[in-house]
Amino acid sequence: MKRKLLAFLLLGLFAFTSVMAQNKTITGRVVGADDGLPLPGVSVRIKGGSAGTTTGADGNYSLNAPANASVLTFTYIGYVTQEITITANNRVDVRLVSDSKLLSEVVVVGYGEQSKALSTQSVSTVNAEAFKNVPMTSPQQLLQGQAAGVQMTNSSGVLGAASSIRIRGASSITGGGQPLFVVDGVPLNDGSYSSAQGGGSGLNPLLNINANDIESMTVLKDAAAVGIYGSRGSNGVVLIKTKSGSLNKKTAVNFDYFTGVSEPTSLLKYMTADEFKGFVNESRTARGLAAATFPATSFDWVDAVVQTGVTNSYNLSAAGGDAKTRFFVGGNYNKESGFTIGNDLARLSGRFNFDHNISDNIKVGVNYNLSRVNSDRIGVENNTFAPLTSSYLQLPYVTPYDANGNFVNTGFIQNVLAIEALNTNSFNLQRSTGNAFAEFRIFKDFKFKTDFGIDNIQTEGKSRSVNLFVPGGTGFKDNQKDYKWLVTNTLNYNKVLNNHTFGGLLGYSYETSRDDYMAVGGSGFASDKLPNVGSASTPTTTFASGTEWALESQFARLSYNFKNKYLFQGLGRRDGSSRFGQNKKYGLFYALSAGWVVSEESFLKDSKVIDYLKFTASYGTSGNDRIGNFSYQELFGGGVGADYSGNAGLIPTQVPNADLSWEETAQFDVGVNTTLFNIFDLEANYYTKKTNRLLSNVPYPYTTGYASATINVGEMKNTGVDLLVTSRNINKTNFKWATSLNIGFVKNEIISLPVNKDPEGRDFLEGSAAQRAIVGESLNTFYLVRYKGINPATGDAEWLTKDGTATTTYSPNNRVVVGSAIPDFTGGFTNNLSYKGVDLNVFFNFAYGNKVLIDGLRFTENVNTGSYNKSTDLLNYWKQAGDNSFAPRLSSPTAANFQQLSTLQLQDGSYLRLKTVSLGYTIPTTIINRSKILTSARIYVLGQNLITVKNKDFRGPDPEVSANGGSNQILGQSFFALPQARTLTFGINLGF
Amino acid sequence: MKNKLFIYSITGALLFSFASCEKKLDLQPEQSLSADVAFNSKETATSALLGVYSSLQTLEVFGSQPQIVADYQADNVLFVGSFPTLQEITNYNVISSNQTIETIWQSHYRAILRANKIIAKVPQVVDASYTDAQKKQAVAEAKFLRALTYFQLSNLFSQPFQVSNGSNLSVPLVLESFEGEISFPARATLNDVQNQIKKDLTEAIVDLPASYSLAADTRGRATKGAAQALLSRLHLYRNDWANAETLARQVLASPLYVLAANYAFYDANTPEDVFSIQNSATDNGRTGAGGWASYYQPAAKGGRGDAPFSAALVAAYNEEPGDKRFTSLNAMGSAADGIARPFTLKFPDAINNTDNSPVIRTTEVVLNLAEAIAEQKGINMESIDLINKLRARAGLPSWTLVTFLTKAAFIDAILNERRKELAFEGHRRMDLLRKGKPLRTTGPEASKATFGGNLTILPIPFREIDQNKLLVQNPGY
Repeated sequence: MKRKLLAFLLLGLFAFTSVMAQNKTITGRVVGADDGLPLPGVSVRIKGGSAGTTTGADGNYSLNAPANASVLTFTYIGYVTQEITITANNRVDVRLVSDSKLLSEVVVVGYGEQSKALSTQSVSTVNAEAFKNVPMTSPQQLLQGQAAGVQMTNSSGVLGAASSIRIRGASSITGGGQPLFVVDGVPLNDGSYSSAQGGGSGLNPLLNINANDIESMTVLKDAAAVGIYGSRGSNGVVLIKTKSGSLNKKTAVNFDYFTGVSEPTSLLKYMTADEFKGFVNESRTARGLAAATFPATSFDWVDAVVQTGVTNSYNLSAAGGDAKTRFFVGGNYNKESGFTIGNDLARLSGRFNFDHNISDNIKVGVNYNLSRVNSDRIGVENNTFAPLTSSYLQLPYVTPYDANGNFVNTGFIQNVLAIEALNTNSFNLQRSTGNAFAEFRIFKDFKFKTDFGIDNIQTEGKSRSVNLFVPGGTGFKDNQKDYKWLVTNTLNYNKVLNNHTFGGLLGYSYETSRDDYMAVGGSGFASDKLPNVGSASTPTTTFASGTEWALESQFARLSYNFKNKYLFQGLGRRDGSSRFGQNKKYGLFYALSAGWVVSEESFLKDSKVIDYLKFTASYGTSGNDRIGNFSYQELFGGGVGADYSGNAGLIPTQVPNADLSWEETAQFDVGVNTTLFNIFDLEANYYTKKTNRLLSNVPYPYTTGYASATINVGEMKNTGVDLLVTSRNINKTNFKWATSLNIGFVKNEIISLPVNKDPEGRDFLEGSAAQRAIVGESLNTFYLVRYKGINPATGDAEWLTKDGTATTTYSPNNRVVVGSAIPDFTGGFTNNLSYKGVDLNVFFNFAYGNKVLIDGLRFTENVNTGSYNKSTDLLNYWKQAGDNSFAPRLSSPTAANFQQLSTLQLQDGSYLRLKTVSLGYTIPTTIINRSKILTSARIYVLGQNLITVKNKDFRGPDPEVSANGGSNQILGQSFFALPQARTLTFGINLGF
Repeated sequence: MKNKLFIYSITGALLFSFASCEKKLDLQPEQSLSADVAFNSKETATSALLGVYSSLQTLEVFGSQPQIVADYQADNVLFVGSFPTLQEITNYNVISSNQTIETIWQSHYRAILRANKIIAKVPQVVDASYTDAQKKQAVAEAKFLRALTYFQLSNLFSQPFQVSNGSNLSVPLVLESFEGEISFPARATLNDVQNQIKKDLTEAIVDLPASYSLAADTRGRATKGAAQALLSRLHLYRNDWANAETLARQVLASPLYVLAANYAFYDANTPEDVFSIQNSATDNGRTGAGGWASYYQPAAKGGRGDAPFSAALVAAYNEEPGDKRFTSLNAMGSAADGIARPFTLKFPDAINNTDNSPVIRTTEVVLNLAEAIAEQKGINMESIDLINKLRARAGLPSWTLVTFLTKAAFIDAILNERRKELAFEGHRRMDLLRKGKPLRTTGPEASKATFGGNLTILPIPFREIDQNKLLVQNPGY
């Protein structure tokens, strides 16, 4: 039945196109006048007749015209309409002159490109210029502050760690928050690929992509844009398009180099040995305990682990093409050492992009990226092997060396200097991502494309701890392979009939990925000089596992516009996934959108104020399939977690749920897009996103034997406004100044959750001890005991009970809602100035209205303990009546609970940051030309995170924290996260 | 013509791909079995039973943590570590959201529910090679493990029998296999819980074997002797001296259980072991959270050095200098606070955490018997002879009938021996409480550590009270 339907549909389409009379065929190519690049989608019509067509991606067209046709009309929004007489050879090539730069832009959308001016999708695009030369470990960092509605938080200073990215707020609670990344049509694998280092943050999915290879990153936001990705679209989609060469262009070679240094933006407070010994004994005496005797030694651990970080990056690329072939070749070597010891990362990557027109009707191409990342890792924050965490906690009288200068074992809070000097902790990653395609123009208006893609990841983690820490030493090694392949077949249809423009896309894709993991571990080595597990006497870990998933999809998109004024688009996608339960194997998603280009109406066409004005609206659905591979089955697992006394065991691990399926987000969007006075561009969108069937780990009473079950239940809403304003303040040949501001406002609200009442009768889901999703509040609501302060009269620490009365008793029963980790708005503000050869770029980013929890303060502000170092803030303790002190009276019974989780650790997370500022000088061509080799040369200096404006009472190193990477349930929490780095780099760009 | 060929081939390709949907999406897990497979053969059912043992083996059940928590409350062990949740326990400053306590509760019920599944499912397994006797034994083993787990759980979360003759609230009693329907059980009384433990053990004794073909199984799996010994302990905890005596005698009548000659029996599967959970390098290695030695060994040995001897315990051993239970079982090491302190040598392997968990030892049964007789008969020669075996092993002079003047002093002395024999094995807290004694007599926490004191038992985890409205919190939290 399915087959028949499709066959009819296709036949119908073909029949429709072949009824037309064929007298003469006119061919030609349309390019832009300024850059010579082909213009796709240009409407080509016979003047006074009904026949017409549009140009393809290569700018070529072919039109059947009556024998008497004499003049062709070329219209393309944003370009001056041209009428050209048909010559005897029936070939008409045209160079269209642009009306306004903005309007000629093409945007990358799912499975294709669209004219920005005529698109009804809501997308944000970040082009290469916005991030050129900015040192960064991964391209996703360039989304920070650059695209309205994209909230990005760098999660950890550990090189290579994943960041938290949310597009238009979180659409999922437990199903992961990362958008779907698609590189040249290949959706990337998105596992975490990182062996546990003590933190919640996985590996950055874009670590292997060289920012210099990227032409543009497009963030798909509304349903009209993400709907075509069906069950994977609800977190938003980021399309990455890599660079290509140009037809008929001399090969351009570029070399870019930069070198830089980094240091932490800020550190936590900590006591010296003398301060610590004095404080602990004052505290002990006050509590009636005998004074402790401490060793006379002292050591500044923080100072010893912080260093000046160094970055060096080399980038070489070549791009060009002849009449039929385009190519781009890029190579990058990047080496970075962080500002704490032991945190190094080196990346080597190469890219080859190529396409060739075999004939006017057949085009083939390949995009391929191969890269290797080698990193020397450190523990992630919540780990006493993490240099900075450990150095804050290490007792300041403990020294790393003995009297002979040899490293010593310092116990649970281990000697991190020795760890970094003696142990191995490496993580290597190899990834090849690419696709090969063939495109056929099978009939005049039809184009068929078949595309085969892969994303193969291989990781290798290796650790080795020497005899000093564990007698005999331990070793561990693991390998993971996640190999994906997919095939995508699409059929494209484009047709212009007088004032009617039709577009159609019909597609099929099948995608599957297999993940294999293997680990070995052992203990007892004859010598520290034996690095591999094979030398261990006792095997402690032998593990291997494999899992796979598959997704099969059909999709279609139809678009229609009338006179380039009234725009319509409809799309649908059907996804079948191996991850979904047997009762919900297939999901259907759709989106409808419409636009009105008001500036094309006669009453505005000649306006001197409004150059362009478009209204759009869209509604549709998308989903999230990150629910785990076999979460729907009741399972019994074996392995070392189930074995006993050398015999195989089995333990129940999962509650069954045959109805388990995707999460579904329905989104409504209205937008306005305008250009005023040819100076200001304004884009504003209002949206509401409602996610239902939220995947929840519904907590079970432990008396069931399970902690939770995964069920589709719950609803959440995000409402917001994305705003982008750009202004070309001055636009003269020698002096240019442009300003751009983007802001995303978002309000998140939980509408319903599985039944799990808090004392106020609201359902909630706990993300951490401090944070939970609560119905009526946001997904990331801090739920804490309110800390009131130190009573100046008594010196006791006081908290508030639920009803707001002061108490000296700390109790979790007094927890209340105290704020949200989700900012009210985030955004960026950029100024670009160029005067003759000098260019200046100043970029600020900001977040406002959120709270962050600096969890590490629970340790460093622990009054009574003698087990780890403390903050110097505690020295300001209550001594006499009237003192307005930070810490309580040392003899107060409340001192024992002072550090308990409360709003004491909760801080205002708002900040404004001078994210990057760069100053460059382009050497005049008159001088360059003398060299005979160079075609261009630029030198620059660039600073990152130079200034951070934050709340004056902020007691953490950095308000930009998100220790748990891509987790949606825990946001804005840090244990001892590495603060962001302040960097200064110097670089050159050379063109040959 | 060329165009047509394209159209046909491409339409064909597209259509073909639409056809074969179902197969491609029908993938199965590779690391797990579905529930119906798990109970369809003798082999898988036996593995599921071993999975219950494995559940008891975890850090949070018999892998040392509940035992350490109990010891941190009492007076044998000094806390010098950095974990705030353990610091709260040792300081009698526990809040009900204490994560360590929550995980202990969770892990106990997980083990219990897995045992329940065996008890419910094994009798229904259809497999000709699985005999009824074998099925009965599997059920009996599961009952023993369930009883053992409930016993420890009720000791931690409820006041001892001696406070109100067992009428006080204990823990929820869940005896059914969980099949998807969530229930919200209220807390049972201590008598209910202990009667169920008694019932499980009594039934298990009938079907359990006396021994297995392998020593590791005789010492590491449920046996008749182990069930009898545990029942003896239960009676002791309920002041039921006569039954405690009877069951202890039954255990010691078996040639399988003999006092060791010295202290080399730890982790050795000797006749000293009545029931010891068998740990291997893969059980609590890199993947686990540690084990006995990770607390009880200093950093130089690979542990954390969190739990050295308390000054009180050192003083107790020094009452009689030369006590081998101290001299041969301690070594100085740098504790977590960087200061040299004495650590026990009972659990030496902090590298792989392979030390077996000594749950029931012959020594304990001997002590049970000596105490049960003394409680009934006062100062008596049989008890003295039993204790003298232990004292001889420790290199100490024998007691005689005239060593003690009163029955109370005699019983206190037996308890003192019990303290020194079983130190660091998780017994001290209950041995004090069931005798109506405070957990600590000195230090700022002494006022809270009194017999019957609210804070001598752990709070019901806050999360559970959030979940199950029928659960009543312990007073004082």
